[in-house]
Amino acid sequence: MNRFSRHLYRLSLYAYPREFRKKYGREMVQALDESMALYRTKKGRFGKAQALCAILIDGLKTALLEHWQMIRISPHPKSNQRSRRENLMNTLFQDLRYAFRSFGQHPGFTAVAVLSLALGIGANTAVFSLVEATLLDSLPVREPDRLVLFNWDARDDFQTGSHNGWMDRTEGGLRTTTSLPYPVFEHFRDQTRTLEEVFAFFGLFGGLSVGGVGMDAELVAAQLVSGGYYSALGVGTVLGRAIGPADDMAGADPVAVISYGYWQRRFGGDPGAVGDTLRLNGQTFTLIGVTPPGFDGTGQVGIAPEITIPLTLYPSVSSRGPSLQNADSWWLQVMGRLKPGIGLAQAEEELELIFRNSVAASRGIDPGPEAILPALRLTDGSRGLNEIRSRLAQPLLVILAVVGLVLLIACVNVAGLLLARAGSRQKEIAIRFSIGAGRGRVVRQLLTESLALASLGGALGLAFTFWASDLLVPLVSQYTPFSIEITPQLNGSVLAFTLGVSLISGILFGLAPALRSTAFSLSSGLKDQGTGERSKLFVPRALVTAQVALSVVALVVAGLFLGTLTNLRSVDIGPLNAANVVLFKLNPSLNGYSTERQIEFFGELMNRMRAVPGIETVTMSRATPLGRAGSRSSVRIPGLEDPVSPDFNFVGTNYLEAMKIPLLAGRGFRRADVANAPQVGIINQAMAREYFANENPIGAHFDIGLGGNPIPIEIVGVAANVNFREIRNDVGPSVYYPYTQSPIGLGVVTFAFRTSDSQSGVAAIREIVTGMDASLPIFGVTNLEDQINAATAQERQFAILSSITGLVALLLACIGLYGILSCSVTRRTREFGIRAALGAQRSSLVGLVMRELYLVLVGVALGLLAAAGATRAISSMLFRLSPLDMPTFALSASVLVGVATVAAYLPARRAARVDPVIALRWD
Amino acid sequence: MISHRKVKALKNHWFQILLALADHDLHGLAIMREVSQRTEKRMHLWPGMLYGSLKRMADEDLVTEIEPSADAKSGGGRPRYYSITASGRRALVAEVQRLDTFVQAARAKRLLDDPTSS
Repeated sequence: MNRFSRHLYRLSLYAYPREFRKKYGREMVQALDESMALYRTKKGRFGKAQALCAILIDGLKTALLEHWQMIRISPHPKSNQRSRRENLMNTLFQDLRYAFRSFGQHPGFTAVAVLSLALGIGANTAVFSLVEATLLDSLPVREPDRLVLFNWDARDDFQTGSHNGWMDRTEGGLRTTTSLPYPVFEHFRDQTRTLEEVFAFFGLFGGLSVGGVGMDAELVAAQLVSGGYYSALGVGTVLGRAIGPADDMAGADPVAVISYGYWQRRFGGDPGAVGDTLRLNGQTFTLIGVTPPGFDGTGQVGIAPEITIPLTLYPSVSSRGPSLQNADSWWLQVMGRLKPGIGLAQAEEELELIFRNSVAASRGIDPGPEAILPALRLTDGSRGLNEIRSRLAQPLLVILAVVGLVLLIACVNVAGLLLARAGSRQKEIAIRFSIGAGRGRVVRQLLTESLALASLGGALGLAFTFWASDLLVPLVSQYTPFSIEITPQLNGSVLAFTLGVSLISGILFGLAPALRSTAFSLSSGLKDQGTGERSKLFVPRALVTAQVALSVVALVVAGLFLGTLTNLRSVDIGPLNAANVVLFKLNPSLNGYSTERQIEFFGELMNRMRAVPGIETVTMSRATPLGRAGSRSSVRIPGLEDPVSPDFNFVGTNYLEAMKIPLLAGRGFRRADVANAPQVGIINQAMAREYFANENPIGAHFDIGLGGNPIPIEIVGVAANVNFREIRNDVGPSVYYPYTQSPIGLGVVTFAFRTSDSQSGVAAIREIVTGMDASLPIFGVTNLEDQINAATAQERQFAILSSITGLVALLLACIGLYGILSCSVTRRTREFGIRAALGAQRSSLVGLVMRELYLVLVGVALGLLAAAGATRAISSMLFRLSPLDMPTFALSASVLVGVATVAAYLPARRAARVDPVIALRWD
Repeated sequence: MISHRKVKALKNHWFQILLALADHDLHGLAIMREVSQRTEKRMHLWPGMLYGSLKRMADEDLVTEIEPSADAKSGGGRPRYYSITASGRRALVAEVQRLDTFVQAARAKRLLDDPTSS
């Protein structure tokens, strides 16, 4: 229970009568924590949410009950100030009772209204909880507002030796990143006077390979931290101790801290786990502590390192990582905590000087104003690193807008329903007026009804939230280059959001009907049937027009996403046969395998795999089709001035054949192409076209390894283009080379094989790998068809989501239109009767009603304008489609006009069939 | 034996509160704890429900509030203790007897003898 929730609970006590609150309020707040703790049977967000819901219901129920008791005991309060408030409560209670009674009398109306509101509010709450978890939530650490994150900006002419991490562009076109060299971090830490503490961390991309006595080997997300990390953040441990400065010294014993989730998953929450040893990348570490639940480090949102080790131990787990003392290796993330009373700008001023001096000194240049040096920029560190967050912001806000549209449509629809009902309640309202109720009093009663309706919708909407957030998380997580995990919480601010949205929508859809149905003259209201004044339909007409406009926006958005999906589906990723291909990954280099040993291991593994019955065409590669991973290397091609960076993909010698990728010229790889043979490569068509346009590439050479000694590679073949990166990108130049000749080492390797029974195939593979080396984790098991489909999964979900929104909007608009025209035909029955009696043709009567379709045309025009403005926001999510795509706009408009015409024709036909004799007897 | 027709069934949470107070005086939080433990978390008294019930039970003279001792600061500090009244005890006993008739009926049908028969 956090402070915010407790405060919220204290506020909610104001729902109780004053005496009750004064007497019991303090004890109730005290009882809250323990009550939650006693109740929570389930862990995690469901347990917490369940308890919150139960508290909510308990409060609502007992507060109403207490008021009811008060009213029963003292029906005639005295006329002092306190009893006036009591009186107000009484009328509120009366109104509520009346509202619920009338809901009971119209169950159909209530069900439709509550359900559509619940859908709207639930969808908004679900998206908001996701927005909160990804964009708004601060780190669960001590005073996160005082944390700062170190960034630097530089022009393109500032060169770094090696750079590891994200690199973005500022609005001014500068490169910006958070990666810093270790020596610079040391200078910050030792020299700063504006920060209490400076600490550093680094997420180990690829994770750590974990093994231990009696443990299955697995790959686990991990990070390195400096000694001051936990104390600066103010994060403790639930068990054991955290990493401290003494652990981060050269020669210290290797220790590791694990996350609460990993402790639960791997050790079953066993308190005896502390003191155990862990094998990390083949090295022995002592487990010294478990961090609290909810603390996922300070890295990117959705990526939770499960194992943390001190920075100085980096060399012991990685032979390929940057050296700590290298001042030109930019890789480390640095944060700090401001001293009390020090502002961001003040700290930046001091640290900028340290930064310039440190970088200039390492390069042996003068840190004068004309030196080409990066500029330090401190930013808010309360949420940790931001790169993934900023990439998620746009899709999240688009989804928020789409569900906002759903809620708006639902509100307009409920307003329409209320108006329709208002017609039948005119007599009741007129009676209220005539016995002395003021307009304010009646409006208040009607508003109470709509607020009660909205609250019911909100409560039911919360139930939808659970279901909806499970759908939403995968929807946005695909916007990141690797999988992330976000668990939205149903906490105080989300509940406050739901409450706010419910209240606002209640007022939104309730106010117009309430004002309209109370603005009329007594005499006409008491008559049973209003005489068809057309002006009375102004508000309903405006509502229908608004519905039509919103539907057009929803349809256009749906059309654009559907178009994007179709375009992506039609993208040719290349001629290959993905049927029945199973993929899995290994990374023996983490376990300290040398390149030679890996080559030997892979050859042996593939031989054993081929011997398994049911497994065919075994091969391996670095990158896989649409696998979104790969590595580029700079090469120098004779005849070209600048080096170019094609994709490099090391493959098994039979790769092209196994994946059925056509070879367009030259030869494939041979078994003879091994380490000491001349280096060979097969380029793709894109590379042949781009760099060898006027010559035959077969037999040509290019050089790899621009540093010391370039290695020449001979082109022996040209293969068809296959997309190994992202479906939205065109296939770029790429080179295949045999893994047995790898000039740049081997990292993650993906094996592929064909089998008709993937389950037993994977089981057989696991057995083989474990048999060869039990400490080697197998990961990334999938099949190629799934991987290719996954590339369009998020567009598919957007298309489905927006199509449902569009269809619901269309349906609701048509119901609205049908309702208003039916109503108008009923009111004008006498007029139609007279016209028919005077000899009007049926077709002209139909025309009279159909003329009302101008509402639709106005709505469509407004909707198209709104859509033109709105779709610009999603232009970057579209694929080969303009946000103002004419066919989509035209189709949406004509679908709406067409469906609306049908909806209008039904009442029009009724008008044409009016029998003059009956019509004239009307009234 | 009291016929269960003559006794109005006590609300379940009222019954549990009275049962908690049967052998010693307790404050609100302790009642909540006792009930939760004794029912193995099957019954949970939320704050609103607990204090609302205690207030109404005091109105109906089933429980009585024991004023905090004079040395406790007014408005803060010590919580209010509750004690079962004579009529509260009568109601509790009546409810127990009412429930007991059902248990005995079940026993007569030999429901509790053989675990496999259920």
